[in-house]
Amino acid sequence: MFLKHSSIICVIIVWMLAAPSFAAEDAYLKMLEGEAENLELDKSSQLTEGEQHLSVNSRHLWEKELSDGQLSAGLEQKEFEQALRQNFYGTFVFFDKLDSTDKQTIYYRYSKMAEPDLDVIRKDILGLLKQ
Amino acid sequence: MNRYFIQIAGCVLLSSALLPFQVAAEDLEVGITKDKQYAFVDYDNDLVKVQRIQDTSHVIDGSYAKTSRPCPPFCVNPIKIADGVNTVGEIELIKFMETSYALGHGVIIDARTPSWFKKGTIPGSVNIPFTMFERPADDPELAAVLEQLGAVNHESAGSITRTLEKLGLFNGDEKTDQWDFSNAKELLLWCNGPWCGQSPRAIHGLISLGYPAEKLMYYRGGMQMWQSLGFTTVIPKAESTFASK
Repeated sequence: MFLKHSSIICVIIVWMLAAPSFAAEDAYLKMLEGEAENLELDKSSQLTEGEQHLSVNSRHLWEKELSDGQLSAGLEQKEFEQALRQNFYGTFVFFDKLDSTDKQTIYYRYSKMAEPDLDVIRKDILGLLKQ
Repeated sequence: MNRYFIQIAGCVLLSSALLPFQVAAEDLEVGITKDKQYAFVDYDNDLVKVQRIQDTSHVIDGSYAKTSRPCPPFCVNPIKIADGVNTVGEIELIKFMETSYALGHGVIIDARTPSWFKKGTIPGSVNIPFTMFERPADDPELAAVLEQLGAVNHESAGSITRTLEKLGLFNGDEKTDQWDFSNAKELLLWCNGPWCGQSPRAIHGLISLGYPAEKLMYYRGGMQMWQSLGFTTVIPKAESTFASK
């Protein structure tokens, strides 16, 4: 009997000790939510969802390339994709948006080039993306 | 004949002299740095151009124009938030977007609660609210998040292995009884700005879980500074958030 009562008292004491910190936590989250409710960003710099799509001038994107070097010929498809990712990241960003069939098409065209021409590959990628 | 030749030559010379100015005219008036006009970040399968507002007479409006909120809880944070954690500014954040994040080695975390995130975020950010990192270590959602961040469950490690790790062998300083953080990603966390406690709490939560402080970065300026400098923001898609509450 005493044991039962003492365990209840123990639970109450623990709850009483913990309650203020829970309450403080709740108050903080409540204040955060209150601030967020009325939150308004400066819209001048905000892109709408439509603007986020591939509306970027590709000329600028190619400037993001990590290498000015040549793309080697005769790479396996995985190596080709790896080379794009590592050395021609701008091209890779667009390439990566293609579905697997189009990626294979790009790779096929590349594999037919004795001296891979990155400009031609880029145009092919953009052409497929626009379809 | 000679007169025509001189006129054409003059025209060519004038054009070539003007060409650099035509190219320069395409440059942005408000760049990011002297040498950098904009950056790109791949976000939610879209490519976002990050630049600054070009209107030099623009004055910030909206909630981030507000100077004062009650403190506590919205108190000003120090530059150094925890030992080993690097505090960064906008240039470092953009560099992180272009390198660590672009190559898949790093994650930009908007540590605010989803109600803040949904109204607009920094391109490239994923929403992991600070409350996630304050959950008990055995919470399954927390475990899923840590795995997404590159941590590997380490509970199956034998006692001898753990003893050796605790002695500093086998990258032991990046492992806990529960997690191996050796291949964990670099995280750059941010929230509303110098007055915001959400990302500092996320950072302290991560450190208490054993995440190596050296892999954490704190963008103290947060949305307040990002907006003040007129940088691009985006409305996130729903799937960018790791937690619904």
